[in-house]
Formats: sequence, C-alpha cells, structure tokens
Amino acid sequence: MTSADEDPEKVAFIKDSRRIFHIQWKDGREMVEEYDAKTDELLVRKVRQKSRLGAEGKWEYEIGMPPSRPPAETELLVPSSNNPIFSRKDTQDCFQWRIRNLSFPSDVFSLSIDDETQQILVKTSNKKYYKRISVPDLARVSLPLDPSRLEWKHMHNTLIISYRKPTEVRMMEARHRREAKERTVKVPPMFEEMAKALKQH
Amino acid sequence: MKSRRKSTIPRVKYTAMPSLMSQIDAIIMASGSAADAIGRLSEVKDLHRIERIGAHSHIRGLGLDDSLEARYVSQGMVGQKEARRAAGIVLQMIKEGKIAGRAILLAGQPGTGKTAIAMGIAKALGEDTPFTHLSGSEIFSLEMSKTEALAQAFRRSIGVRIREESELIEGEVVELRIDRTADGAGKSGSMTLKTTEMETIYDLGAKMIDGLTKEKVTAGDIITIDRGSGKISKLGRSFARSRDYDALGPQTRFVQCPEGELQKRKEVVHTVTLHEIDVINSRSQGFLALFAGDTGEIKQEVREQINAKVAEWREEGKADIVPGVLFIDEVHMLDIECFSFLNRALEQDTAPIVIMATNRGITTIRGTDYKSPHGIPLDLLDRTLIISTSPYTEKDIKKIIEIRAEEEDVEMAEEALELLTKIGMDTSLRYSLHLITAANLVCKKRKGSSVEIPDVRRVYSLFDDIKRSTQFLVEYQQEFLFSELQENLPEDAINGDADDQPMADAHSGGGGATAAPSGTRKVPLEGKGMASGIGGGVAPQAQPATGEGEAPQPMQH
Repeated sequence: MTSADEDPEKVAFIKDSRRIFHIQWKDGREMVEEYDAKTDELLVRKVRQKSRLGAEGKWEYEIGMPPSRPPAETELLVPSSNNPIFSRKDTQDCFQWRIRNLSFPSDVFSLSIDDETQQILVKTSNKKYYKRISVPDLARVSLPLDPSRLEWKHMHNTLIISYRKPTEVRMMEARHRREAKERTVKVPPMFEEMAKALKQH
Repeated sequence: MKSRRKSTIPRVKYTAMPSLMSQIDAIIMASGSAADAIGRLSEVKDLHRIERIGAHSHIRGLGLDDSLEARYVSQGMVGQKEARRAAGIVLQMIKEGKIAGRAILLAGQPGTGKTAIAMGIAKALGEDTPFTHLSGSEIFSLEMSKTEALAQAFRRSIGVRIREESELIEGEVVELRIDRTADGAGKSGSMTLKTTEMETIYDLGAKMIDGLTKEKVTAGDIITIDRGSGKISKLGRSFARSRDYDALGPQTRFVQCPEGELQKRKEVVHTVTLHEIDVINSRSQGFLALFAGDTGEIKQEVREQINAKVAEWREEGKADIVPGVLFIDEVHMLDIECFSFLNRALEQDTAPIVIMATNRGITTIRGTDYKSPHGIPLDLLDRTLIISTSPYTEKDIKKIIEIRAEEEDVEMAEEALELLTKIGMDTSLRYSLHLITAANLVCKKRKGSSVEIPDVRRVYSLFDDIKRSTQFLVEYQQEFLFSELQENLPEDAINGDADDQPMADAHSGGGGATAAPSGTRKVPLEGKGMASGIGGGVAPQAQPATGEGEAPQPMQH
C-alpha cells in the first residue's frame, strides 16, 4: 500500500436506477462500482489506470461486462462471437464466473489453483480453451485461494465456476455498500462540472 | 482546342533552340491528338494499378562504406562525394547520440541533391530514430504561431525510448481467411490463432488485413500483435511446420508455439516522441474530452512537467532519450523571429540535430531589410556546420536518370538516355527527370517496349523547360494579359508611371526581341526606342524622359 492509496476521492450517485460509486486515487487509478438501486446487488465493477505516458487507460471489467456495441470500422481485430465469452457476476455468497459458448463435452474441463500466481486455472484436454482467472477481491484482503471453496459445473454450453467468499470479503463488501449509500448525492457531480465546462465554451 | 492553340505558338519558339527542333517538328506532325492518348490511358489504369512513386523514393541511404567514404553510386545516391562524406560524419554524430543542439546547413544550387542527402540520412538512421521533415513555409498558419509550430517540430524530433506495459496477442496462425465484400471495395477476414493450450478465432478489421498482407503472414507463422497500436511482428515459423516445404529461405527462423493464454500483458520497449507525450497529457480527459477540439497550442507548463518527468525516468533508468533529426527544407522561408527562436532552442539540452537546406545565395532575411548569406542571420549561421553541394557532372546526371528510370519501372534505350542526359545538362536535372515519366507514357501509347529518342523528343517539344518558357515570355510578353497598360494609357498617365514603363521595355530589349509593338502612340514609343537602343537594353534604370538628351521630352508637361 503506497501513499497514493490513501485518501481517495469518493462519490456516489444514482443514475438509471443504478447506484454508481466512483473512487479516484491520486495517482490516476479509478474504480467504479454499480449497484442495483433497489436490491443492492453488485452489477459492475471496473477499474482503470493511467498509462505511464499519461494516457487514459481502458476500463477493465472485474465484474459484469462492457456494454456491447457493434465493432467499429477502425477496430483492429475482435474475437469472433463464436468464441467463448467470459464474465463474472457474483451472488451473495460466491464469486461466480460464467464462460459461455463452450460446446465441448463436460469431461474435457479441468480446474485447478495455481498457488504461485494465485490464479484459478481452467484447462481443456482438447486444447481449445485455457484461462487464468485472477481474484483481485482476495488480493485486496490479502487472502490466498483455497481449493476447498472452489466448485464448478458445465451445462447448457456454459461453464459455471463458483468460489465461496471468505467472511473478510463479505465484510468488506458490506462496508462498501454502506459507504456507497452514505455518499450518494442528488446531482451527479459530472453534471455540475459539465455545466461549468459549457459555460466556459 | 488546346492543341490548336499550342501549335500556333511553338513554331516561333523553335527558332531559339535549333539543335533538337527540326527533328521534333516532324514528330509532332506524325503524332495523333493528345485526347486520344488520354482516353486509352484511363482504360489501362483500371487494369494495372500504378504505384505512387515519390521524388526521392529511390534513396535508401547515404551510400557510404565502413570508413565513411562515399561510394560513387550506392543506395540510390550518385556523385556529390564531398557532401555525402560530410553527411556521413553528421550521421555518425547522431548515431552516437553525443551531440545535440547542432545545426547543419546544406547549401547549394537547386537540383543538387540537398533533399536527397537529408532523406539519405533519414533512411540510414532507421525507423527508431525520429526524423521530422518540415518545409520552411509549413510553419506559417493562422491556427498556430510560428514559434509554436517550430517548438512542436523540435519536440517531434526527440524520441523517448520507454518500457510500457501493453496488451499483446501472441500465437501461431492456424488459418487466415480474407474475403472481398460483394461490392469489391471492402475486405473482411478472420484469423485463427492458437497456443499450446488454446485456440481463438478473431474477426479482422480493414487495417489489420492490410497489415497482415503487408507482412505476408501465412498459416504456420508465429506472430505477435500489439492491441494498442496494431503493430504486427513475425517471430518466425512454427516448429510443427518445419517439414512443410523442402525449400525455405535462408532467413527462416523456427520458433516454438507459445504457451498459455493468447492475450498477454508484456513490458514492451517502444519509442515515442516528446510531442506525442505532450499531446497525450494536454488532451482534456474523461467526459470533458467531448468538449475539447484540437489540441492546438500546447501550454508551456505541460511541456515543463513532461521534461521533468522524462528527466525523472532517465534517472531511474526507465527511459532513454533518442535525439533525432529535424530537417527544415527551404529554410530561407523562415523569418527573423523564427531564426531567433532557433538560436535559443538549439541551446536547450533536449534539442535535436537540426539540418537545414537552402538554395539561396546572398539575399534578404525574411522580415527584415538586411541581406545575409543564404538569407540566414549571421548569428545562426555561426552555429551551423555548412555542407555545400555542387552541380552534378554529366556522368552523375546520366547515372541519376538511369536510377530514376529503374525506380519508375521505365525501360530506356541507351540513345534516349544520352539525349535525356544532354537535356539535363542543358536545362536542369529536375526537368529531365520529369521527362522520364512523360516519355514512358508516350512510349506506351505507341506500344513500344522501351523509351526511344523519338519519345523523348516528343515530350521535349510538348513541355517547355524554364529557359524556353522564359524566352517565349520575353518575346511575347506584350500579348499576355495586363501588358496592354503601357500601350493604351493616355499620355499624362504614362508620365505618372514613367518609372515602371522602361522596365518592361528593358526586358524585351534584353531578350533581343525585334517584335515592336504596333505603333499607335508615337511620342513615348520613340522615347523607348532611344533608351533601349542606347542603353543596349541592359540597364533597366534607363529613363526615357531624361535619357541621353536626344529623346523628346514628354514628361515635362
């Protein structure tokens, strides 16, 4: 934990029936969590970081998926839509990952935990799919991966991987939720800034 | 319509250059109309796409050997040994990266290879060294001040080699399919990549397809693609494919198929220029970027911040500075403010090597009334090393024409080459180089396989060089627009313009023209005749009014 970690700017507001909780660190790191405003379910968590040269980075989705849009003409290359699609959406008790479009028989899959890199390893014996899954939530509370908490099943062309949340993680999540609610403001701060910017132009 | 108009005029012109003209005349008679040729050409163009060729595309380096001696003909360069040797030493200085903030001036007549030498240096430096090519007139814009444009050019010429994490796709190509869309305009494609563990199909964008085609990527190649920049690099061929062909190029490298995931994050070293970093950091970020237009001028604070940051990276060993080259062509087009800016900018520690080129002699410095060598103030000249280029010899010109003909894919007969060389000596190198393409088109039109003398003669008669054009103008100036002024003005108006009038007259006198303007107005004409007669048509300052006492004095009214 560096000094830049301390004292981030936090703000929350409600937009399109989602509570959006935005955290900005001094070094340019940003994290956005989006909760369902009614059920408090965590729908999206994304982080981004400035590149060394100062350019704005791309959002990395820890939870949820980037809004889908048709690929732009200028796009260099995109994975074809027939490829497996990886996404994470947690339940109350579990981290849960879904990998869709995996139309192989169930027995080709094998899951393990790589202790060295602290990642969940998904392998296929037909060498068609391979994935290393990091769990930043555990890293944040500095806990190792525990194989006994890992479960998985394959059905309807989808591989579902669950990992039961340790209590520390659940406590931290509850804290985040509370903080998001407490900090919720009426007017999204962007609008104020936007109005300021418009006045200048 | 055009051809008729032309044909009335040139006949007189030919008398001036008797050497080639008699033969050329005959060819003009025999040839078909120009419109015909154009019609057929457009048909050809559809079938055979012509690649565009730049004026200096044949240059691949400075053509020096290991001891920095200039080879007579090498890497597209011909002759000009002294200048090239000097450029070689400059190149060495740049490569060693020891000197910065030096200025080199390439001075010489037009068409003596100044730009070619600069391009040669650029090519020899390779792609990783920033080379900015700027023309003196480019910095004058209404959107940006001159010095800002120069400052940006300076920063564009300094590279920073830095490690940055970037997203790579690394794998073996299993299958590459590229289809044309139904209308034939666009392309679509897909590529299957694999590692030892997995396989993914990617849909390709147009830019990616071009890149893959350019790199000649085929199934069995191991490639990496930078997701940010789209840069493709071929690492080699897969070991699994080593038995595919019996014959393989000597450079074929075999590589293991990569392991693990296809998408990787890796620290990659790449070179960005200071200007690029400036732009990244002065763009408003987040949603505010929606309101921001062009970056335009960059704030001095941003520059200072970045200089400080780069210095910090250097100390930490995270980055290196790669001093590059800023080439300012036509440097006499800069004005006194720019020169004074250059003086100061050259002394900064992050200054590139500035190479300037000019074809002017002693002339006024733009923006002042002072004259100075090359139109550059002495204090700046004093900070430069001057390399001068000299006119090419006949042998050089012949060689250059040969090289250009090859570059433009033109077959040329030996005699035609001789003739072009002669034209090049008599007129200018550029003119004879222009004739190569034109003559080739004429040759194609008559379905010839190589350019012969008649083709060259034909284009020589169709296109004037400077000398012939000037002479023609001198002879027929009166018939062009706005020269009626002298003829038709009332007497007292002429008196008012008396200073200007003899100028025009002196020109026609200098050309030895006999064509006298039709004598509608007697008095001033006599005055003119006297002046040019006595002054021998050399002194434009000859004043008809007071001229040699004998002239009638129309000015005295």
